[in-house]
Amino acid sequence: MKFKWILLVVLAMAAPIGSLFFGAASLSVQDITGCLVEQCSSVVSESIFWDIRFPRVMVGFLVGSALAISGATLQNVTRNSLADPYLFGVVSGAGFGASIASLLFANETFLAAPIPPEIKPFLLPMFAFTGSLLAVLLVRSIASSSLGGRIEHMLLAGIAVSFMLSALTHFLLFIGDPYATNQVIFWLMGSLSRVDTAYMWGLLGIVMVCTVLLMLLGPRLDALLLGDESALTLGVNVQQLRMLCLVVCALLTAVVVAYCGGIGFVGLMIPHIVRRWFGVTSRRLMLGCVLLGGIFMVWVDVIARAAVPNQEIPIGIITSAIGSVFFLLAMRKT
Amino acid sequence: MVLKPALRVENINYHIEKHHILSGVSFDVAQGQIFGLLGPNGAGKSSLLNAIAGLTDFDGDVFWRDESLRRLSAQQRAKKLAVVHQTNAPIFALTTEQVVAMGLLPHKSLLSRHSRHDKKSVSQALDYVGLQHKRTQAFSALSGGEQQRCLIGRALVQQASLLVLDEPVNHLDVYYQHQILGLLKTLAKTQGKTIVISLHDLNLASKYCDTIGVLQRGQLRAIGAPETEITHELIQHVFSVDSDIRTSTKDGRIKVDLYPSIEGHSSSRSEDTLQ
Repeated sequence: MKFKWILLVVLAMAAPIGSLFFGAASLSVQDITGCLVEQCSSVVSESIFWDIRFPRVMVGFLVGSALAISGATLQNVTRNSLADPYLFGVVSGAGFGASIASLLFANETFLAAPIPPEIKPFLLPMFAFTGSLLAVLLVRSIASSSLGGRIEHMLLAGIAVSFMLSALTHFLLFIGDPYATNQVIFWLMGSLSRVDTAYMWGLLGIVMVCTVLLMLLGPRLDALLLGDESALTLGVNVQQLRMLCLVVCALLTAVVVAYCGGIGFVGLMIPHIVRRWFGVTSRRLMLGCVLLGGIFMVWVDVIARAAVPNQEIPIGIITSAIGSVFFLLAMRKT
Repeated sequence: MVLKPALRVENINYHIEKHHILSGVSFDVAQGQIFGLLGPNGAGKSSLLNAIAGLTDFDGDVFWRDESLRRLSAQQRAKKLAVVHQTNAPIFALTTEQVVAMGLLPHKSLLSRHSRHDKKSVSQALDYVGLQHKRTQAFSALSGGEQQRCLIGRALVQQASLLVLDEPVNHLDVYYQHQILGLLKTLAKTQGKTIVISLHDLNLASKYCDTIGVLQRGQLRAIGAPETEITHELIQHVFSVDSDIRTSTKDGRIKVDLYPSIEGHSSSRSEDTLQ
């Protein structure tokens, strides 16, 4: 077990460093090691390295970590091994928000509005983020008002809200401007090309705080695995814990989706691998997910950037392809 | 000698919409005693145990050593009272040791880690319930009896003085029934645990319980020592079954032979029609 952890930590450190050598712009090994160790060889390589490649690799790692710990947490609090961050309408909510933004961007009155140019690039992510948080609130209020707030009802409400918002999104895209529609569709397929240093620091802070919080709550999350009543008799405030975890997962996923679009299967696949290799208790699970989720996403992004020359494959396509093969293999083994 | 009650259940009333599940249930249990709750299906046994455990909202009160359990937070209550449910199957493969260690939870803050003393108490509990050799095995892979023993081990680690068990020997064969109840008897005698347990088998209740309470339609019909309360009339009245009761020469406990009538098999009991 100790060896497995050491290997995982070594891989988690090696993956981001290794992936720095891949990218559209050709940076030599000397350029990269120079930037990492002392000073970049030129202003251009410094700009490419510190403003584009380094934030992108780090964000890739953090996105993988965020999606994996969200999935692990949701699977524990719902006691459903198929629970996924996207099940609660977060992605469809973000898609809906982005579609509204795309319609507004195509509107002449909106374009003429006095909006500072530095804010404009943030409008789509802001709309997406608002949409995803609204979706979670909608799921929560439907489940608690008409279904009694039970967790399985919350999953049902999540599926219903997802479909409803997807239908609205598709309608908006159907009637919207073709260029804006293309932009939203590409965004929904997932990409790390939009990230920058400010986003990297913001995401780092959110992932760190959420990971620490979830690891502290670990033993209480474990108690939930034996059922709500069992957890309650062990002194766990089940409703409060579940709500807190849902908010944390919504925050993590919404922050990722708002900038990077839809990246499926990571939250479903990584926790299953970590449980098999490192055990099921929540503290190990969270730590394993942070590291393995990060490693996975870093290399997926390398494939996205390097597989097709001069083009970038949407990252969601790659994660979905790998995820589906993973589950087919897992089904054959069990 | 009259023992001072450790557990006092006071006038519990519980209803779902207009349907009364429990009506004015009151009883006391002294420390180190086993209180057996008997009654037909739907009599309110599980509801009463859930009320004592703080899992349902009800009218009335439950006192443990003169302190109202209702006024305590879930964590404070968990330090005094441990519950063993009928079935608890985790979806992911928690080990026996991990399930037993969950008993430490009420005594831990968010920042606490397991100390050497904690590990020792988990190991001692595993020894006590005879599952040390299966500590790394998945809880879901244990037999029904072993799972019950594992949850009793968890209750021991929880260090609660009051144990509530809802039909712990259901679905178990004769060997495991006696093994589990024997273990509870030992806990009551050696560690002074007060135990409230629901059972269906009158002979097991007679053998292992110090006091019994018989519930019918949410009301206590009888309460007292098994040898005085389990009578031919009571069994006929509550379970609608004929019986023959004798005293064992081996242990002095009463033995009940039941003779359900064949005609009675097709007709429903007055209890069932009310549900």
